[in-house]
Amino acid sequence: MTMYFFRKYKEKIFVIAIAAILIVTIGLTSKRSESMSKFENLLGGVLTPLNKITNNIKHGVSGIFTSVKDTINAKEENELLKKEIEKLESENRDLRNIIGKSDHLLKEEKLLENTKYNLVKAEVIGREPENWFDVFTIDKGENDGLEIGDTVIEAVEIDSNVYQEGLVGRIVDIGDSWSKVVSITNEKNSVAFKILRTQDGGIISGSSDNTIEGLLFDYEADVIIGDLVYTSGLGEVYQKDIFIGEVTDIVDNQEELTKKIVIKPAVDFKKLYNVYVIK
Amino acid sequence: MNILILLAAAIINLILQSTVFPSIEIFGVVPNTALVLIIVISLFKGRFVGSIYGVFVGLLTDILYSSVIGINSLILFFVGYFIGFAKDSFARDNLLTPVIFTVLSTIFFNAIYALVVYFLTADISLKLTLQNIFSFEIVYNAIFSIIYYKIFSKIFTRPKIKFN
Repeated sequence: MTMYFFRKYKEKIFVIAIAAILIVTIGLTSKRSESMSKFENLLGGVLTPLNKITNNIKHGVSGIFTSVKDTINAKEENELLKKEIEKLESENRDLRNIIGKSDHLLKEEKLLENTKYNLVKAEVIGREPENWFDVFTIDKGENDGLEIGDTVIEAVEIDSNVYQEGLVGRIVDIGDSWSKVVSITNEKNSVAFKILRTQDGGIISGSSDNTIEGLLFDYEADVIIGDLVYTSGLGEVYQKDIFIGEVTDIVDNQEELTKKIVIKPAVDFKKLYNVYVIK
Repeated sequence: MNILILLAAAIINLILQSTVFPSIEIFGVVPNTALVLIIVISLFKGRFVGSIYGVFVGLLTDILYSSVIGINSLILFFVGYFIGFAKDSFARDNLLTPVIFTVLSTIFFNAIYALVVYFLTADISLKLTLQNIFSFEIVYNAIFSIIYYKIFSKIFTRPKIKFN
């Protein structure tokens, strides 16, 4: 009886059995139970070489297409890109240069609009290496009508939108097309100054870091922090009434009966690009 | 002899399906040549060979590429079994036979696949499912069924010509 049953329904049994086994397999593998993944690992281990081969061929096939295309274009593209990079880099340099200088250029333009002096524009072309912010060389000389002792200035902003000449230094040595300028931060370069508000006079006596020190002639002079300091023209070394800087500190020395002021110069001596010489 | 041919065909198809065919995809669709292979073999060899072969090819694909083992085997088993019934009922020379069966089987395959995935994850939208079932794959598979049918009709009919 059972044999007959099997013979009659063997195909259906076969189909249902296989379907059931596969459905169970789906159910088991979808849950990722441990025993099943071990079995899978085993099977995978057997079939991994095949998988590897197919993967290698896969990479090879897609690789051939791309590499052929790439090799044809690569050299040409490389050259083009190199040229492009060069061009962009040089452009970038130019633009950064302009951006970095834009502040200065604006100041210069404003100064030239309302200056009363006859100015010669000069470019800083070199600095003495050992004391690089005290002495520097500019690209104008005797051929441009400059003389030893001429005052060198730079455009500075006093208040917002008020631009004026700021004292840089004076010419101490001159050639046909170059001049050496000693800046006011040099200790030997004594500048006579006056306090704008009270007209008290004094002389610059030294410098430290980014500030310069001035010695007032009058011990009892009325000076407050924030006073503006100008050249007095005394001794005719420097032009009269050129802006030096702002008083940032006052040092009273009771025993020596001297009064010193610390001045923050209006010019940033570490960032000098274009200067003007007063003829 | 037949077993060797079938074995070689399964492996060659597997390699082609995973290497060459992905690079000729159209509309993001890769032909399911494993399915086409089962259809053609079932048409030539009947439901018994077709269904067993379906399980074999399906398992191979599952183990190598699928995260869940049994989906491909189950579907290909039924495809092989049902199409095997048609072995003697259709004209062998007519290329429309594999094309029609491929169209139907592709829809069947993707529908059952979607159903199984639905039961496993319950996280697919109906729109996406329908898009997957009635996709360009139907046309693509049909084209490949003609190619496969031609190849296997040459392989399987040669001895008969000899005997006649």
